Amino acid sequence: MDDRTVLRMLNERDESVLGEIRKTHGRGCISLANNYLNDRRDAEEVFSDALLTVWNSIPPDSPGSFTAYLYRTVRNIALARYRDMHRQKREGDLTAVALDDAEGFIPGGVDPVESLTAAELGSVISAYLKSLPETDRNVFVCRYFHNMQLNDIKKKLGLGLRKIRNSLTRSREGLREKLKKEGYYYE
Amino acid sequence: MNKNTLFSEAMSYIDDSLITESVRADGQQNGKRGVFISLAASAAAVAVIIPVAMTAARTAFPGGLSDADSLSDTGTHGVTIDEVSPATDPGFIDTDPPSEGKGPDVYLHPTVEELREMDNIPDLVPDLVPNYLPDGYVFNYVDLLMDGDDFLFCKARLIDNRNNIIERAEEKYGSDRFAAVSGNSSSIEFGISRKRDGEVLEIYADGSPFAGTETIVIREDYSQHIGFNELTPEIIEESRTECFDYDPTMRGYLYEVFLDAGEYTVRYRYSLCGDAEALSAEELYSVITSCEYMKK
Repeated sequence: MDDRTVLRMLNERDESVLGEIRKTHGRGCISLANNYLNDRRDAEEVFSDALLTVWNSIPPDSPGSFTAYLYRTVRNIALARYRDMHRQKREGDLTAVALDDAEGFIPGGVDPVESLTAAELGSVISAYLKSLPETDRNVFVCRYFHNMQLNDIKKKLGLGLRKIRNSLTRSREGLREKLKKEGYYYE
Repeated sequence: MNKNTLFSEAMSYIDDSLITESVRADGQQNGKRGVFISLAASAAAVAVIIPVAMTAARTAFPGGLSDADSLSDTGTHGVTIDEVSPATDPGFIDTDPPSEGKGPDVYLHPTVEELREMDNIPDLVPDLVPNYLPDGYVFNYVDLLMDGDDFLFCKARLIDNRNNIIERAEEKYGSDRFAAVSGNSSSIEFGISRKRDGEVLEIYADGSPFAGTETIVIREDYSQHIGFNELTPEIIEESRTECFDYDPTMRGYLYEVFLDAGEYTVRYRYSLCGDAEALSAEELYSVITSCEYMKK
């Protein structure tokens, strides 16, 4: 079912849309959550929570892309849940697992949020990714949005591991250069 | 906010087009069929019960809420099942169906229409399940356990804040009919067992099986159960039929015991960290009886 139809059904409060969303996006969304939580049942719960959030938020929200809205919702819930789960354990942020390399290209300083908000950084990243070839773009988003392991990216995109690593290295370096050029990056 | 957190948050703000492109890249790029990840999806059924009035405390950042904040009860509830459709929800229980011996032998994920056509499950979904549900939930799948043609068990998974469900269940059924509940799972399963003659025996809600201490049981007619105090290692030995290993690396084993003594069928369910299958009946008995919640 396409995004436009889903949004129309949500706005009409057609309950059957939830089943349709599950059919169309269930597997992908549960996979996304599982990439963060490494637990299938938790991932299912995250997707369920996301469905409820979507049902309650559209309307009044009217996203341009329902697919992006749903995946973003799933990701946010999964991240929040991960952080809740690990806060007491003090095992560090999940993103430290997948995003160790962020240390190398994200703005430094005592409090980077003072100079750059997440939304601003997201905007910069978006602009940068749009300048990349489609393959590099998807590798980056799979790695850092979907939190996929390299082997999963390999399966999904049909690329070799070396190519994926090279792509990520290039993309990170390029992003750092872009951040520098725009005055965000300081060491 | 540290760098990793900042970057992680920032990735949630990337343009919609980048997200949708990455989602759709699956199987379309580089001429190869992609596999999103190895998470298996199986057929299940989706029963959707929409709360009449349940508002979410939302922010402009969808989903960025804690469980405690994500649902706000407006006080008006209703339960209707308007839709059941096939889904890709991997209900764990059907991944290891019983293969031999005693116990249920078929696990089904029927549609509502299929349910209605089953003579031995009259009006199950429209009548039975809602009657026993705490009010006002999204109901995202139903599993049925069948023993031959006999309906044994139905479970449905609800979407809501766990504490909301428990609170409302307590309001509806009385707190004295619940056992201790712990954990912070945001969804729970809700099940109904009934005798083969159709009489409801047990209804329960079951949260995350992490610690084996999260089952709450509403006993419709306790006298017809094998009471907790009547449970013995011998009964366990006779009735243990299945051990579901659904994620040994993360959760250990979910172990289910179906006590079927002819006139009654009772389902005890709990989970253990470790190899439950390897435990003797005596050891299982010890584990079960050590769970305080089972004693109530």
